[in-house]
Amino acid sequence: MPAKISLCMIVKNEQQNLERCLNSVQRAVDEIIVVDTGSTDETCTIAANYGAIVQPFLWQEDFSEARNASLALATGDWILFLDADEALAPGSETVLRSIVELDNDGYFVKIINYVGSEGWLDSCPDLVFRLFRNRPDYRFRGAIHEQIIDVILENNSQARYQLAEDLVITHYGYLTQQIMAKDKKNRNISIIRRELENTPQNRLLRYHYGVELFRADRLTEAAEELTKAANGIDPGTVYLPKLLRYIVLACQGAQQYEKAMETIKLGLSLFPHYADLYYYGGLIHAELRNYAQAYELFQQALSMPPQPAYFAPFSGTAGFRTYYQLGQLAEKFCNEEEALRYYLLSLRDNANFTAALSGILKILNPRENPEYTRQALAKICDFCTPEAKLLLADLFFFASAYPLALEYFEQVDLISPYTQILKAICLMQQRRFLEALRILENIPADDAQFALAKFNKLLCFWFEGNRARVRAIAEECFALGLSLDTGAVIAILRDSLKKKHADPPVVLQEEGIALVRDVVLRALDLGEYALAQSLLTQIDPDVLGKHALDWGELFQQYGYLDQAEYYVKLYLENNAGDARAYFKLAKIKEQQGRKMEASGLYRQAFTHDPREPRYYVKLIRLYEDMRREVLAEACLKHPDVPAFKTLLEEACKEQ
Amino acid sequence: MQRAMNRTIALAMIVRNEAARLADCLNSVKGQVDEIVIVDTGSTDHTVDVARQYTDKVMFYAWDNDFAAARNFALEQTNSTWILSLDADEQLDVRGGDLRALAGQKEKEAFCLPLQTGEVDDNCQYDRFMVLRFFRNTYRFSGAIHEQIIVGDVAALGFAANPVIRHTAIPARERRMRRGRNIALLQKAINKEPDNPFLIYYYGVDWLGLGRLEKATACFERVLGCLTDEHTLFRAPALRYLIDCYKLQGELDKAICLCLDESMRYGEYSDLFFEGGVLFELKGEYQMAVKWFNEALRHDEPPAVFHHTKGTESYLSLHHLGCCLEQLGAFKQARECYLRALAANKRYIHPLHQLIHMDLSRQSAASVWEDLWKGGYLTDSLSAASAAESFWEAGLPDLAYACLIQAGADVSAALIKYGVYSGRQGEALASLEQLRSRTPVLSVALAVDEIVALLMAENLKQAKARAWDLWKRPAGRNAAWAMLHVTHMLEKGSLGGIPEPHRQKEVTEVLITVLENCWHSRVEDSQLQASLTDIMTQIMRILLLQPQPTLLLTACLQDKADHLRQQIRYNFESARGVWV
Repeated sequence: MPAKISLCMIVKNEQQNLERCLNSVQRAVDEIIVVDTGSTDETCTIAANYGAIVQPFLWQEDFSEARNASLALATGDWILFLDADEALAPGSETVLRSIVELDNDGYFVKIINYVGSEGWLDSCPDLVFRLFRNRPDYRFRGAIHEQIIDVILENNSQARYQLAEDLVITHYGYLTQQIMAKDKKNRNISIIRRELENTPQNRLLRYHYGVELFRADRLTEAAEELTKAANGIDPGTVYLPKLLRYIVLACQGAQQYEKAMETIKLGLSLFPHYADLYYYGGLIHAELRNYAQAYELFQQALSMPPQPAYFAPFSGTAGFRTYYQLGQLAEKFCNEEEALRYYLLSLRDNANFTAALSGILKILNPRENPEYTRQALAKICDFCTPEAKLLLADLFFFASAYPLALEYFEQVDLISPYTQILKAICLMQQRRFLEALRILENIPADDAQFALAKFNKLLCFWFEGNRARVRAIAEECFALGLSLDTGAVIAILRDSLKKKHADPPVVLQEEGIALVRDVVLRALDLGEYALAQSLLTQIDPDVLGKHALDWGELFQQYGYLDQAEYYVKLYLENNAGDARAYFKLAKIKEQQGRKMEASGLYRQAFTHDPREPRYYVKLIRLYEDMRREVLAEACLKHPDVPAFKTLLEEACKEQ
Repeated sequence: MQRAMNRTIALAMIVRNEAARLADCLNSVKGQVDEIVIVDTGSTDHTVDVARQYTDKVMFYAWDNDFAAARNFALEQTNSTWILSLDADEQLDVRGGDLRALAGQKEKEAFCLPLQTGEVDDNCQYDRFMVLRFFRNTYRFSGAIHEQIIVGDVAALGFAANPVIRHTAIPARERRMRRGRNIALLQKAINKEPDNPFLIYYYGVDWLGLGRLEKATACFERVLGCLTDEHTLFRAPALRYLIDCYKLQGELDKAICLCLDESMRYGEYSDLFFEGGVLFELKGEYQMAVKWFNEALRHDEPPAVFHHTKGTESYLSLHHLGCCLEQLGAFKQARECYLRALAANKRYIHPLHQLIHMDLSRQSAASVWEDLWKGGYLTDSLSAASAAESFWEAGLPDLAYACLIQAGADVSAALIKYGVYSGRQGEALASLEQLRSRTPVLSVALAVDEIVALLMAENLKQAKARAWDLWKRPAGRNAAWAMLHVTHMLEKGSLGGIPEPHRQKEVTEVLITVLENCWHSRVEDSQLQASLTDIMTQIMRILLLQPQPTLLLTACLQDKADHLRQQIRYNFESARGVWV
């Protein structure tokens, strides 16, 4: 007779998830036990529809008790335990049915956590102990992070358990509630701590305690507790690789770099093929600006074989993530060709990894080279799905490549109000104000983006110098009840057209500055230099000076070098010794053709901060440039000396 | 004068053409000896006149290619109970103890004294050999070349730490001549006594001195094979010379094997461990090198019979250990080593240089300077000057200037140079006047710096006047030409012509030097910065007039780029492969 399998669950208000879960197990289990800890929604009805035995249970801040209540009701030979936000992956039932016939007491199964961040899906596999024989002495223990494997082993030291990698659970929970409310996290932490006080020797519990601390951003404590959990541990412990990774992450976050590196070293002596450790080691070195070491570790990460499931590897550490980091390193050394190569490798390994795509775009510079960017991207991949087109449009938009962005926005049919506003902005940046206004006016007043639409409407008229309309819309904006800063910016915009200085000059906070920055950029993009200036002159000089590097950057981007120089120098007056500012000024000087001055400024930059390779690389290129110039002039002046021609040719070839 | 227990001391020397050095030697023994006997073997300069100012016992001896015979002739002329034997290029340093104390030791027949060669002043770098130079007047020399006093009873031979004989370096040309002459004599002696290891040893030393490494190697290999621990006095230096020979021939592995073998025999010999460390360092095996240097540091100065380089048990090893640790990326420990080396010997300045170099690659220049200042490394003039030099080389004349000022250094050419190129031309010009009041004629380089300072201050008239002053000095003509033309260009914006062919090379050198100095400048004031840029632009225009100077200019630019490439490599690649 085939072994009978019981699915056990505890739930509370899971009407969103439960169907997905129960659908996935329909053919895989023989009995469903659902312990409900107080749902107020349709959860119990749904469960009953699937033929589940539903048992209400009074929640007592103890997960184990609730779980054990479900076990008590199970009549099967085996228990499969799932949470409502989990599901069995397709094809798992066959595997399940076959492994319960083997002579084992339990299985570690693979769980794939779907993690959503910044618009793309990421999966993070792990191992969990969820399938075990139904025996009265096999019960959960622990108020949180209830565990059963150690109980099984205590009761039956001969118990055999195995890894069932082909049995896969998918976990959707992190997608929606990955960022748990902070107080909830801290509540969990205090429950575990109480428990830990009773059983200070419980290593696994301490590990979970550390992980919770880590998730709550209490990094120093996390590092401490996790280290305690690791001290003296049996190297065969199944969660040791994960534990080590958490120690590294916690130490890195707490800026205990030496300890992090020590842990990596130790970890690699135990698990020499653990790609994550190389990857995080590389990240740490890169953070410490030890670029050679970072490079070496990333290379080692890439050379790793496929990772076993019990490493619970972070996806892409032996692939797209590491390629991306190598691209970043190459950029540090101004090696754009190499950076591009790595970003492409990264994208090839994971087409959804947008970071690599934006790295590529940054180098291609779509604002200045739209046609070239288009051709280059066409070679990389087709962006044929609406999602991909939208993504690309977004990326172009934020790279200020408005015509390209518009092209892609226009290829997408259904777009959100926010995206519509972006599209309108693209139109504005091509002086198609009427079309822009049409879109902006269609944003309904109850939409969250209404104020943004209004603001852009105002800008349409501002760019055209229409004082009356600007004034009128400004009043409408004020009526919406805006933040202090936004209101102030709108007032400046209104007043700037009167060619009258604000009296007294306006003091803005970060929010207002960001808005001004945006407007200045768009004014410069439209070639409205005077408008941009009229805006900036309204701002309090101290506030303006604090952000002068930003203004310098903007003016430089659009080729207003004298103005850029003015602002960077202004910044340096108050921030003597800022290497970035010297570097910026050097680049401006170089663009102005004042190479000798530029060389001195590059030197200043690395004198103040010797750990930025690009400062040296730029100066090397400058010297080589000067040398070529000298040789070119020499060729003209001394045509009778063939050596110059040869040297010049060689120098140009090296370039 | 009554001499206790009839313990009188005679200095006996043989000399030839030593007029330049003899006085220093004889002055150094004043009050230490009771009689001086000087035997001249055929001087053609006024050696004899110098000698006569110190003693009336000046004799002549017809040179017959036999050192022992000549020296023994000198000994025959003495009346004292003890003999001190010196060469004219040596001096006796009695600050630590004198000869009388040694002569009082009844049981001793002779003493080996430490001979120090190398940078003799103060506490810097030198080697210590023990040489038998003080003995009772009953012994006589033997051996036509590298004549020795042989004391049969080992117990009667003492090793004294003091007084010390210091050897002043003699000019290379003269040294080579002497070596050539010695080799001929040694060859003869060896023909007579082919198995005398001492002769072979000296033979090796002279070949090594002449750079004939294969010959030297063969000698030292033989010496090492046949000398025993009874002759550590010779065996130890032979060992170190052999290591040198292998090292110079690029046979690092062979040298390392030798170090390993001999470390079994001489487990306390810091120099040997130091040598081993240096060999591994040369091979780039820094972790091994660290082990060897640490071993060297575990020991004290070796016993007197061992040939010893001062500092191998301390600051030399610490310095090299620091370099290796730096290569391994252990910057903190490297830093500690450099500081310990400096604490052990503050006159040995290399660790300071290295420390500054390392710190400049890891933190802002201003904070590097501040750390030095707080650490008290800018208080004495020697370390301040050397730190200043390091900062100048790194293109930080302002910090170089600050080092000297901090140490209260007097006005000097360096101070003025740092001042000019850090935009303190007012101070620099004032210092120049101060200097001029002491020494009316400034060096050409300083005069050029002064003109640059005047140009920066846009005082063209004064600059021109100073350049004409320089023109009046024959040695300053080329520099004057260069600076007059730079001034002309700044004033008129046009070229003033090209230098005459015989001047071209020197003029170009001056211009490139000024250009390089300007490139080392660091000036905050934008007006001054603009002046400097003008000066540099005009110099480049002058250089561009002719092919050869143009080539030098392009080479100069290439150097700058290459130098930066090296710096990137140093800054970002030093810790490759350290861990895992």
